[in-house]
Amino acid sequence: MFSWKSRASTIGSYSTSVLGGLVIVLALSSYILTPPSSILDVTLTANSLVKLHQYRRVGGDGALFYFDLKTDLKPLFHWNLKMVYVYLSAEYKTQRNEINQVVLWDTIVEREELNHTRKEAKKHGQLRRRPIYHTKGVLDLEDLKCKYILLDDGFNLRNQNVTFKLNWNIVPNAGLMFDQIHPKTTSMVLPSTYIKARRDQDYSAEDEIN
Amino acid sequence: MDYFSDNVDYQGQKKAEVLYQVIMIAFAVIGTVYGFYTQRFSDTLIISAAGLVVAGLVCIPSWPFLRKNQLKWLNTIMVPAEEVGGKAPVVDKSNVSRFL
Repeated sequence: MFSWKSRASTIGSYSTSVLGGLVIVLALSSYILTPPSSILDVTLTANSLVKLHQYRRVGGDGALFYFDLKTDLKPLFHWNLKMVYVYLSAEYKTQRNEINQVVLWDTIVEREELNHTRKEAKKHGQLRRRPIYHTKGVLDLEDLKCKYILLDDGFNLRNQNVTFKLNWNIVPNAGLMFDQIHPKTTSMVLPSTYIKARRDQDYSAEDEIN
Repeated sequence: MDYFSDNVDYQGQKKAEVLYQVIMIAFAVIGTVYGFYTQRFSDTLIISAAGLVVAGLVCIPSWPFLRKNQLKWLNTIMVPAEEVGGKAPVVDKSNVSRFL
């Protein structure tokens, strides 16, 4: 600390310690700021089951759903939240497994996107990276086809009681990542026979193989 | 007076150490409070960086307030040549450590 160079060096290294302290405060603050999952207003309906099919090559039944989802994710966002990975999961029980959980649809809602309208998202090139299902944090989806088929590891989907849940994965800037499930769930009982695809866009090449 | 060539004394070093720590922590605390209020961490970082700049301005150059307690060196004593045997004292460097 005798010469100005040593003072400059000491102050520089102290600044990294200060930065570390700030990040620790940021990580701890998210425990205060994270609301319980029931704070969101979620409307979830499983609209229709359009296909129940045996995928013999894969070794299981597959079901394709269309659903409605209306929710506003803004109450979740605080200064430590980088993005939320929202996904719709289906749960059911079979003789083989106590719980089966399958993800049917997912999307990512980032914090920067909360302030962009769809036009601005297009301008920023965000739509080219991945499709964006929300506008300023509000998800207003009607009759949306699920991204993924509910694929069972056996042929047990007929007469099955399936529960649909909305979950999201909180991804912070600093700190631990964790999941939250919304308490409002919908159920559907699947039919007892296999159904062929009802809408033209559901018809896929796999049906020809089987 | 050149603020980057003269050096700082011991009391000044103590003052400088306390000052930079207090300034940076104060700005960091103000920054976290303000960042929590606006819910934006970038605000916190900007205010803390301002604290770093202020601490640098206050502590890095050798300001006069840091050089107030200079050490008092003893004066050189001039001895007449007769008292030391008429010759100038000879400095014996044979056993000076190699590291100096």
